Amino acid sequence: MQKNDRAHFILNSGRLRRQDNNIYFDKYDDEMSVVATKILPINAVDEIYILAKVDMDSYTMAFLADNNVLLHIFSPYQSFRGNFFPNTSNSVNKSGFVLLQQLRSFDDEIKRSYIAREITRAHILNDALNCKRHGVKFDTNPHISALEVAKTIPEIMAVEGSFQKLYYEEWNEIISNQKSFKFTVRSKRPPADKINSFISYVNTRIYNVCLSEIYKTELDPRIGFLHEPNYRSLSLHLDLAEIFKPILGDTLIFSMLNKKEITAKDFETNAGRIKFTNDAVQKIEMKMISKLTDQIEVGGQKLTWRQIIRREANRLKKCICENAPYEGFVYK
Amino acid sequence: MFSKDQIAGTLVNYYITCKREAWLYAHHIYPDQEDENMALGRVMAEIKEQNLQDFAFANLKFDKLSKERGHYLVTEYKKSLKNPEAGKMQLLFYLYVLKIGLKLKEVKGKLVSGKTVFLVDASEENLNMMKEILIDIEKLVNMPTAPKFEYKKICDNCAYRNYCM
Repeated sequence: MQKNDRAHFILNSGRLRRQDNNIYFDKYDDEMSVVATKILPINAVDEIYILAKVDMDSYTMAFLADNNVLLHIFSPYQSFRGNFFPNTSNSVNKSGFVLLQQLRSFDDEIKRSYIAREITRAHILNDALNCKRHGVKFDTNPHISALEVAKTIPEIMAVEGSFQKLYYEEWNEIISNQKSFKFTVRSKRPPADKINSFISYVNTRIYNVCLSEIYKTELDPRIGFLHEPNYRSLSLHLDLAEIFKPILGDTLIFSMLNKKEITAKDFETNAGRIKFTNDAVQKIEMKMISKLTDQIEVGGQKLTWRQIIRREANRLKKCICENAPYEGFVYK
Repeated sequence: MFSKDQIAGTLVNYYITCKREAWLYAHHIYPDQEDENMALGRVMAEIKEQNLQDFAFANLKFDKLSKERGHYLVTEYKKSLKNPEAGKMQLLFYLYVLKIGLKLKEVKGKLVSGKTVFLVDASEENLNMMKEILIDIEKLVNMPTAPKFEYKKICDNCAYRNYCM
């Protein structure tokens, strides 16, 4: 059973290189000269997050591919740029059958809206339980009943949107520091204030965790059910993240803000764009990793959150391939 | 359409163990790669004895093929022998392909796990049994959906448990 999180973060500029059968990271200073070298044990790393300018050659990338290490690359403003997904003889993501079934389920309007509805239901219930845990009352019944009537995807999206707006309004009661973290309206690209910036960062992280778990199953991340796949490259991980955002992301934001682990000083503003300092990223990631490696008992098994996400992806796969009933994960 | 030449040793092994597992494997729905037993198996395949030739014929990959006095010997290494029948059948499948496909005259098989050793003989009777199994596998794999899941005792330690259960 896997206990520690096998993700590695690179926050400084430098060079990633293969030497013998291992990966080394040379840290650069401002003049591009090496100041420190660190070894990344290849067998203990599953994915590498690159949040800085890093040099790499194809020899290193081939080695990473052979060992099934997934690379996530981010822009200097911590938005997602893309990933390097290895295709080798031992990568699993190769089933034509599952891809066909996924496309068929997507085209089948009844099945697609069934899956989308189940995901939204789990999302709403998880959000509401979040509120309840922080002592805020929230009535989900009108939303759930509206969801049951919703037939098409836009209708489901509308239910979700109106619910989400009310949910974010409750945040002002949960977060105690109202001076710098008052929630007014959700804004993206770029986030307008500190709380929006925090939400965006944490959500991006959860999207990426979901994405790497989807890559470990045979599902194709390009075809989502709730989110329209037409206008973006990847969308299935957004669906999966809907379920886990309230459980993993929102609780992390609440606890870090209420314990004053993140304050207004942890943000940098540059030309109107807000970003975290490297120290703050480190703090958040420490918390995130300890959250992801927490073990919870689900269905008689002790699983980490990462494994629960993969289990959820597997359930979706079973629903897609064999028409098995699917029910979104609700954390009670 | 799945044809008989696409059958590999692992598929025969899975077919004897669990029909559903075989169907899933044939459709490239792979088990959880992070499962402990899967990881052990992969390491076992990596650290074979030195100087063993990796002999590849069609889509077969033996652990070892050696030339003894007057006959060839195929050896298959297993981590454990909880299900010796499946290992024997896998080995018999190799012998079948070598005898029918490559037309080798004398082939014998050895199944090794620690200190336990089983010998498999390519007798006429065994080969006929194998032939029937191969026809059955082809039939099973060409079914449009997987056989229904039924809980068995082996399911607890299977790397597919997160998918099936």
